[in-house]
Amino acid sequence: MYELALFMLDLVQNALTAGATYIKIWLDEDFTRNRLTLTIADNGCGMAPHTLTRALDPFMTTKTSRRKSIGLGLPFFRQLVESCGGGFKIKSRPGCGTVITGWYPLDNVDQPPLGDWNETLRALIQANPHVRFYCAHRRNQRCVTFDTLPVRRALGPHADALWQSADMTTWFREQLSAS
Amino acid sequence: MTLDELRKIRERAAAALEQRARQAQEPEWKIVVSMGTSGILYGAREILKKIMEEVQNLGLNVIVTQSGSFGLDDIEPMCAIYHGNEKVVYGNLKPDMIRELLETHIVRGQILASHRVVVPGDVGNTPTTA
Repeated sequence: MYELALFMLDLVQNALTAGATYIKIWLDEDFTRNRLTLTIADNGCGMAPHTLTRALDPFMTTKTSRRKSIGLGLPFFRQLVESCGGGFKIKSRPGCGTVITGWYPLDNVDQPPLGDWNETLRALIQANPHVRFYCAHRRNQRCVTFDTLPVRRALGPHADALWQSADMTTWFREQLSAS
Repeated sequence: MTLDELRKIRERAAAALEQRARQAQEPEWKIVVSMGTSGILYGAREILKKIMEEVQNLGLNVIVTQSGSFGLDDIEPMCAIYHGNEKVVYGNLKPDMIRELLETHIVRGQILASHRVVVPGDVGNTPTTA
């Protein structure tokens, strides 16, 4: 994969497959500490320690990917951050959800470009109207957050019918590109 | 915050929503894009975005969403088009053929044979001529 945004998309798809209704995506580009951190937290079904070990092993998971709904995404992301001289952490509890964090130094030549971050978020938000997304993007001291819950509330009973309309596409685009 | 803009969007869309309510008896159209790791590598994100865009351009009443891998990694990117309980799967998609796909399948109610995927044992794929 050639964009960090695509890794994020892949990890969020895992969360969706795990039945998450609330997904938080934090991207922190901290140039003073020379570190990029991506955290994705979901309230999906979570994994038992035994499943978690398998989820990180590409050879164990590919064969059962359809049944277990875990593919190569997690090992890919881990490989990416580790090959960039960073680190990877995953915490999961059955019934509670999963938190995935990866980080790497920002002066690293192997890091992928961020990619089309905002458009990827917009596509995720619009394609999953019933999932609450909380996105935060921090670049040095500037932090921009976006939460879909107030949006749903403002649209009221029409939220479902309007969510994928052209008007909302424009609106989401404007809101997300504010970062 | 510009939540006020949302209220405006809501008011402006009132007419369209009423029309949608009248169509509610018809079976629901739904497009599901396969968004597994291999799908993403083959450009599923662009397909998802393009489908959403063309659905809006054509003014279709279709829900666009995503799912995990369909399990057919060699013909990604893929999508499944549902009409009620009917399901047709398309593979080897390209962004520039999405409009043709939607016009053929949803507007004209025909099947775009060149990109159709028949999954063995998947009864949902049985073509319905009705």
